[in-house]
Amino acid sequence: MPPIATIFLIDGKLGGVPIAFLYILVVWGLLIVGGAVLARPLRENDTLTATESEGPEVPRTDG
Amino acid sequence: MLSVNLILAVCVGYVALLFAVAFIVDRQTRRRRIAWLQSPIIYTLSISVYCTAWTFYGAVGSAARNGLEFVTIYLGPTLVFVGWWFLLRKLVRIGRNNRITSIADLISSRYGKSPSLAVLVTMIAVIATTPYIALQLQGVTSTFQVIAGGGDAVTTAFWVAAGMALFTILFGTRNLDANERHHGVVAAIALEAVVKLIALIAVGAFVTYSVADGFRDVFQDVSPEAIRGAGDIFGPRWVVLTFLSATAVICLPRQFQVTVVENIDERHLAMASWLFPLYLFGMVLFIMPIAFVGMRMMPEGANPDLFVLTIPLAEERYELAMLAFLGGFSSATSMVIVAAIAVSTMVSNHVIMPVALKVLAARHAVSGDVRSLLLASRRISIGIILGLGFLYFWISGGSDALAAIGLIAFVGVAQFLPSLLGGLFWQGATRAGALSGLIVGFLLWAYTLFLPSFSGDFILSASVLANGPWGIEVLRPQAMLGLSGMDPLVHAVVWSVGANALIFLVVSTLTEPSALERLQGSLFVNVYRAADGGPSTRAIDSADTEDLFVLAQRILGNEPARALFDEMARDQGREGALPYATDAVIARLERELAGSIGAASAHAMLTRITGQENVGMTELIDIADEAQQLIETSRELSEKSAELEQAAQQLRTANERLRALDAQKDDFLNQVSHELRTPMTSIRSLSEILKEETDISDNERSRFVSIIHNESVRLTRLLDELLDINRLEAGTLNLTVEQIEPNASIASALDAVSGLTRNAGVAVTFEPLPEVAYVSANPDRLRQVLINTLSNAVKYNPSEEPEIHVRAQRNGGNILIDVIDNGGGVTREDANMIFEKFARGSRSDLGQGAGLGLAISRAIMRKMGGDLTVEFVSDSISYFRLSLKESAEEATSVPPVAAK
Repeated sequence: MPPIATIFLIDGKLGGVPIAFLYILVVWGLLIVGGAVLARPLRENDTLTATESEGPEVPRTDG
Repeated sequence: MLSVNLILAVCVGYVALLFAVAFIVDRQTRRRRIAWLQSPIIYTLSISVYCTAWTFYGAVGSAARNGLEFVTIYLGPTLVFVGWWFLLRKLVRIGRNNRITSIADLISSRYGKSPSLAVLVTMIAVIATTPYIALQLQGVTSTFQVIAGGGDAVTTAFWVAAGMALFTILFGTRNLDANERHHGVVAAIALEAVVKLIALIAVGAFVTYSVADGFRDVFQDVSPEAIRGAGDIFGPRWVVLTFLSATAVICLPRQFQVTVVENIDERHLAMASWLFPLYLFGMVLFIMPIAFVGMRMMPEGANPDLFVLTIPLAEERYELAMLAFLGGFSSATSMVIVAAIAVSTMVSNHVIMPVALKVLAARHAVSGDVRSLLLASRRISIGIILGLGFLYFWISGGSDALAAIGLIAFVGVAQFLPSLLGGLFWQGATRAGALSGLIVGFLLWAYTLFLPSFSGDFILSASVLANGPWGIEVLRPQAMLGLSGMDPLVHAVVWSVGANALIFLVVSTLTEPSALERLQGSLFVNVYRAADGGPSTRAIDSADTEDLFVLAQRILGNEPARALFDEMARDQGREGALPYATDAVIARLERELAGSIGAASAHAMLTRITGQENVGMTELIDIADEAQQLIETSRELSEKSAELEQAAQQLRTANERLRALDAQKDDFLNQVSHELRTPMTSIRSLSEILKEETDISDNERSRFVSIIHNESVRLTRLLDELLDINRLEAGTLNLTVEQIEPNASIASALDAVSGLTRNAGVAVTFEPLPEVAYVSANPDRLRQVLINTLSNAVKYNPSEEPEIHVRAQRNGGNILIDVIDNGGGVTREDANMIFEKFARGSRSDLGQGAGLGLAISRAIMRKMGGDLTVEFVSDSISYFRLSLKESAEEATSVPPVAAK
């Protein structure tokens, strides 16, 4: 793992919460925010398609 | 303690609610009222089937034992979903295009619709899933015992398994949906996802803010070692666990089912890319507080895996305990249901159906037989899968060995990864490579991880585990080739997945893909380029449409088959009749059948019915490949030929240019010789006369000396001009430019030629710039050009009343100086050559000058960033124009010059 990834993995607490735990939550949160920010333009990318119309409808079986 | 009856009533009520939801949604689907079901939120919630009882309860236990390590189980899926654009999007697109029904179907379809690969993947999936289902049963039974204060584990597990089997059979095989989608089940799973999230957050919030006094209090006495756990954060075990969880969210049959098969719109992935990680974030938030508060307040020896349930019970918060139980119950049941559907589809399509179809074909089965068989095989498969899960639970006696099975299953399904990724991104991947990689990976997984998890009770004895088979230490299951001191999980991943990937790569490189593999490989790898992306098209000219129709009836049923064939006939303009068995029809039919029985079975049946064996198709594709290669070679040759032609043309042009330059050089030397010889001849002859004749009058002597002087001056000027143009053309003449005022330069030049104009009787008018303007130029050289141009206008003006008009004006950032005479200027023909060295216009019959003036003038103007051009009023009337860029910078030291 590159040293930059472990830079905040230190013993100690911030606001009573272990810094390592906080660090992972913050990175995770940033990933979520980044994903959300990118989702809109990517979702509107016209190469994405919905599933074509469903195949011939199959009636329920007797069972 | 809660009463058993109450717990049972709540459970039954909850299950009834799930049944109701699934039933209502299924009914709405049949009535095509599924708009709300097509929400990306429902899709995302269904993906949370990833969070099983193992993660619901076990994450707290993991946090209590190993600190932050439990986070890895959630980080892997987060990374996969955040990067959805690169992998998941492709998986979903391929799944949609090829009507993929399971991960076995995908891998088999990619590698030439190989039945053997499908069977192998199915087998691994069953072996990895069965203990996982047992783990869920254990989760439900053990928590039931805790909350109800007792009860028989096996009985509880049996009824849970039976209930789930009933639910799965009812809603998982209700339809033979063309795309294997189960809207009712997905809706129920989404509801369960909400329940388990709420339950865990409710317990977490209670523990953090009611039992403890906020986060500060929770972590008050927690040591850094307890946070870090035994291994290093981001150490090898962390990396391996994150890799495994990332792999699991792609390769676990149930995850593939909800993410790929149940996907109805690729755009839903965009929301899932952040909403699913957010869901996992919510699940993780209170895990550590529950673990640490539990360790602090619960009696020594209390099982941390059950803290989610035991803390509310200890605090006598029974309603919260009930909610927690329902959360765990939801986690377990949703996993069991989806896993049963996914694995039973694989077992049914790839194991039972191929055998059954052969039997039916031999018996000439009639329409509907296959369909009934298919449904029956699905239901039996579900029963078998859940039965195996229950059996595993029963035999293992709910031992602690089960707790580790989650990660063991992750490593098991991780064996699919090399074949899966290789199939998606590498056209050179072959069936032989995938098959050999999977077999070796699976065997190594079983040998290094799965069998040792039984601690010597199953197949591998304790002695083999300790000393290796037959005492061969290098073959010790958990220290292969002496690789000891490593975490058993990391060891197993390195050996099984590493060897799997390596063998997959090597064998794929050494073997040639079959024609069908190449075709499927191209369709998968280039899925975004494929217009339709359907399965193979082929040339079948003898396929009997009647047979195809009967086949469709068997699989899809009478009405759907009729609807499908009617639609295809309409597309061909054959309403009321059967369609022709064209490539498109067969491809469409194969796709529809693949949605029900898997790609391999559909392909096998169609080739049999149409009488087309793979050989025919292989040859066809080989021919197509060869043709493609020929086209490619031909195209490359054409490109080379065009390049050569282009190079030859360039050489011809360069040659012509060299010839022209050579001719110019000869002309130039001739001209120079001529220009030098004329004055030299005069000088020589006159000087000889002066030298030899003694009786020359003083007047004559004086005239001869004057001519010699003038000719010498002319020679000097000619040599100066030659030197000038040589330096200008070589670019070695450095001109110092400064800001000057054009009006002043023009006035100065006019002064210089005033004697000439006066003698020639030329009337000169000057129209200066109306306001002050500046140009960057060398004043002497600009004056030289102006004098040359004005001199020409005087010398070559044949008019009887010669006039010269000099006009300065601004034009789009340029200063233009026009020298216009009434002699007509140069003709259009002359304009092309007037600036050449030693060139003279047709109107310059006076034979004055060496013909270098205009060439030098233009070179000077261009050197100063301007130009000297001939402007035409008509074909026979023209004038010279000097242009220079106007300078923005003012030169206040230069005074404006008044119009003359």
